[in-house]
Amino acid sequence: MVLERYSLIGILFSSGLILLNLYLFRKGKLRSSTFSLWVIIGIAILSASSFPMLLSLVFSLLGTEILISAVTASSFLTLLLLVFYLHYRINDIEDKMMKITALASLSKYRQEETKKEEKRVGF
Amino acid sequence: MSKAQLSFSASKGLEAGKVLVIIPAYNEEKTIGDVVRGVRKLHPQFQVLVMNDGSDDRTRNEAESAGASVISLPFNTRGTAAMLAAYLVALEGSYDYVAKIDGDGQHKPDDIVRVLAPLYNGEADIIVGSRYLIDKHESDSVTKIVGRVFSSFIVDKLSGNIGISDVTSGFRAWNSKALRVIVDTYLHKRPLPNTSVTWIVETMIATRKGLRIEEIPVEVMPRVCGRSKSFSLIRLIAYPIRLILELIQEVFLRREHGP
Repeated sequence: MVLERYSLIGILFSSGLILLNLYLFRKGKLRSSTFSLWVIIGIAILSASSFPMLLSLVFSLLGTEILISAVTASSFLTLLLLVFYLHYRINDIEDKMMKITALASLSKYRQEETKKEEKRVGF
Repeated sequence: MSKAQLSFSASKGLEAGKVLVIIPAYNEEKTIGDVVRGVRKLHPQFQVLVMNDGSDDRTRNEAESAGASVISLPFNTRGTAAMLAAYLVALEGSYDYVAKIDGDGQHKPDDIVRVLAPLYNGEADIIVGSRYLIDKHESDSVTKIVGRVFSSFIVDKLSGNIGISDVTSGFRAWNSKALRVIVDTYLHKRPLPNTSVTWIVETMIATRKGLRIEEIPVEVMPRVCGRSKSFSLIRLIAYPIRLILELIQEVFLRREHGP
């Protein structure tokens, strides 16, 4: 089986995506839900690139059998990479937000307790 | 030592120590007051702290009027940030022991001293209250049993056969050493775990850090009102996948940071 160049690009892209995903997951930088979502996306692109017949089958089932242009394909992959980066950042920020929330709640609790104590001793 | 003797000796000693009882609550206005009163009546020497996890009902007012201190989180964090804040309060307040029970009335305040006893006696660093170690326990659904057996088996094997039967139990107790280890890990070494696997991840962290975990039989009552927030159909399907991934990540982190 001879792979077309676009298939090779797809395979390289999806393999890179899966490896990057795995690296970030190993380092504890990705939550399991984010990791599983992007592994599924990576596997889907890898399958479609390795076996273009699958993609043709899906397109024919949908009734939209139109050849994908290089511009569309590269835009799609670039956007996918961008979404992955944003998802990773959101994941990181969400974790930091939870930790900051815990610390902020603790700080508020300390203030409330101090106020109660001051009220109690008539300060 | 009999159960009664154990309870008595631990209770006498625990009066001198500083014990914090944590009760996380999210929209538990119907039960939280009774739970707090139950703990305060049986153990007036213990400090009771309700973690109001972004409730939009009267949970805070009910808990305060029952005599508890309350920390209110600005939104519902599904337990994760609430528990971290509770751990921080315990460390900051220099409490020797911390017990955690649910705010829905399923855990009996009578069991708190029994759960704390092995910590006080220096036999363990973390205690898990297991509903499956007593002869008479409420029969769970098949899915819950499968989930519990599956998670307990995997965690048990990965943790070096610690012999845990109810790894998802929310009735827990820690000494200050265990809390310091867990808080340090959450703040500096890993993201906060997903709420459905919090206790499993904590068990893994504890065994990795060489903390001793013991189980104590506890009775779990049926919910007085409402339905459990822990289980829904979607969560039930996603749970095994999430569990396996979280455990894989924990194994990776174990290699990364060492024991």
